[in-house]
Amino acid sequence: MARTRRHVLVGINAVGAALALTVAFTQSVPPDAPAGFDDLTNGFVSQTQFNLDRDIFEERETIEEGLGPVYNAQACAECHQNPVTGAISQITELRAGHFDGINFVNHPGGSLINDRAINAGIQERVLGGNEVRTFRTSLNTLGDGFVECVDSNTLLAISNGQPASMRGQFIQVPVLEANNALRGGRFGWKNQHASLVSFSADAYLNEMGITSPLQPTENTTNGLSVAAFDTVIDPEDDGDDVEAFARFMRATKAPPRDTALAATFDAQQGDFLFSQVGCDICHVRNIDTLPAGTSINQGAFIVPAALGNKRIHPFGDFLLHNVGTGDGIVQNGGQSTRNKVRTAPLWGVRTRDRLMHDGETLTRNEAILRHFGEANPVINNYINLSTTQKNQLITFLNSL
Amino acid sequence: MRDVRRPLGAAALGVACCLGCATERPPSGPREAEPALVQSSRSEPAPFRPVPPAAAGDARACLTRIFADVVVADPSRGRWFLDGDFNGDGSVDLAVAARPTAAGLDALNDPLANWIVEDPRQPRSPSTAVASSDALLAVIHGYGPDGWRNPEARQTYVLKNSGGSTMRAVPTSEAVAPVPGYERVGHVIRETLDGSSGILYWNGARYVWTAGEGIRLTVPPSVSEGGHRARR
Repeated sequence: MARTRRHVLVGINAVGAALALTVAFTQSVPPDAPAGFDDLTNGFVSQTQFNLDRDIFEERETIEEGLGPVYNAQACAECHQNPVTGAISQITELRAGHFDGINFVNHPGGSLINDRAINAGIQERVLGGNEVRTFRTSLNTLGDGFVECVDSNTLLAISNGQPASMRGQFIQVPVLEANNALRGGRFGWKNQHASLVSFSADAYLNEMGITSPLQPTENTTNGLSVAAFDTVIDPEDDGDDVEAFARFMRATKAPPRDTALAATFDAQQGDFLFSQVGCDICHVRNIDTLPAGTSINQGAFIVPAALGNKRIHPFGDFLLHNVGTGDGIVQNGGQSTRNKVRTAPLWGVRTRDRLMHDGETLTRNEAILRHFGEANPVINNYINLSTTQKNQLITFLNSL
Repeated sequence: MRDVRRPLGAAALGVACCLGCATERPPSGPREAEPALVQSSRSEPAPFRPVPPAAAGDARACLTRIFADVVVADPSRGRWFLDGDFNGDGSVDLAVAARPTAAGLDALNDPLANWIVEDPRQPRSPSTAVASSDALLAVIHGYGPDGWRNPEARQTYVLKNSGGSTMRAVPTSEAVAPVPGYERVGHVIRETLDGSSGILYWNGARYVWTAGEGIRLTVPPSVSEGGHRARR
């Protein structure tokens, strides 16, 4: 009997230990977020809903639906499409303004210069005296639902863990759907948004010229009213499209690795070198999302099971850095962010042929060499690599 | 590691299912505690800090440090080196007229070279390959208070068809038509190329050459961002 009891106790202890170990593992290492360029939902919504939302993301808007009067594209997917809807493209947007020696001053009408208009008479152009000019490449939105579910404190902790001379700047920006309450910015080249609903409403207005309840005021052309050309009553979208865009992005999988290339010796060596050189100080490999059920976006969104407690591999820190590339533009972060841009998340970078925030760099090597300022020590480590090692590191990048 | 984790993850999933699919519908749970408002410091270039002016020997030594024997200095162009804050980051840079060595041409054009080759007169050059006859200007960006003298200063642009005989560094403010309240940091290089005078300057992404004596700016209307609701 005693022997039996001892066996039972040992068995219970073993089960308990296994459970404890399991819990410990699952707490410390969350499962990877689903990844794929496959047009499939990550589970946040059904595939049917995902397809419906993707259709709206791909839908070409018309003037009768509110397009313009000034705009950049007719559909979200015009800029977010390669290799699947929601990803990137070669398309850039144009920004301009003026630096008065102390502060950046917006170009009349805002730093964004819309490339298209529904009437030639209101075409925007860069006006004289606006010597700060830059292009911005279209960003990937795949996997952004996971990024949204990252705790602001996690981003701040990443910043605090970086060497002082390379410390990324964490900024807080308004969440439009939460009465402009502040949250850690993470979306856009300047981290100008913290929530995907805010991001969607902003892009709908600024890229397509369609107003919505969160962004009800039409843009201008170089600061002049376009009301005479605007025949649709504001808000042109009742908010449904904005919600659909956000729902689509929340339901996308993260950009996947090229697993065949990643398995090669060169890519694995490059993977090692990526850390040894110090690239991963800012191009952070692993970030975990908050547990399901957590209220984020200042109460406007609850982390769902499909997005909660997942590990993502963005190879980015979602912080602003000055790596010597400008771009001289200030958006939501204040004047201190003038010459800073968000670390480019490198997941999916193999689909890009134009690199850096402005798309001005065409090779991996030159993109690395363009990093300066805060990144100088890391780049010097790269410069000291052998040709073979550089090739291995670039092979690794091409597997992302 | 991954092989071990997967079965444990599966076990955890099984336990979760046995406990009644607790994660299927997110409960009303904790709330993300936004950090206290974070104050940030300005990220402007440090005030320009001059370093001892470059001598010919310094310029040659700096070229050797970056290029080894891939290029050599080219004193035949008269004023062949100068210093200044060409990229406007507050640290002194060095520009040296150079030409490729016969043995170094392949290394100079190596796709994994440690410098960026550009042609400032060609916004989109069909080729950035350097030929043996090309006149080059190597611009070594300074790093920190010691500028180009800092051994850690390695970022280098090799500019094709640059480095004219009359090149000199002038404060950017002198190259820009006077505008009240307007101040530009750093220096530009004023030079004559193929009989045409112009200015070589850093535009934030690359070096650009523009003909004429200066960059003319006008005062823009004072338009500031009204709050930070829109990113426009």
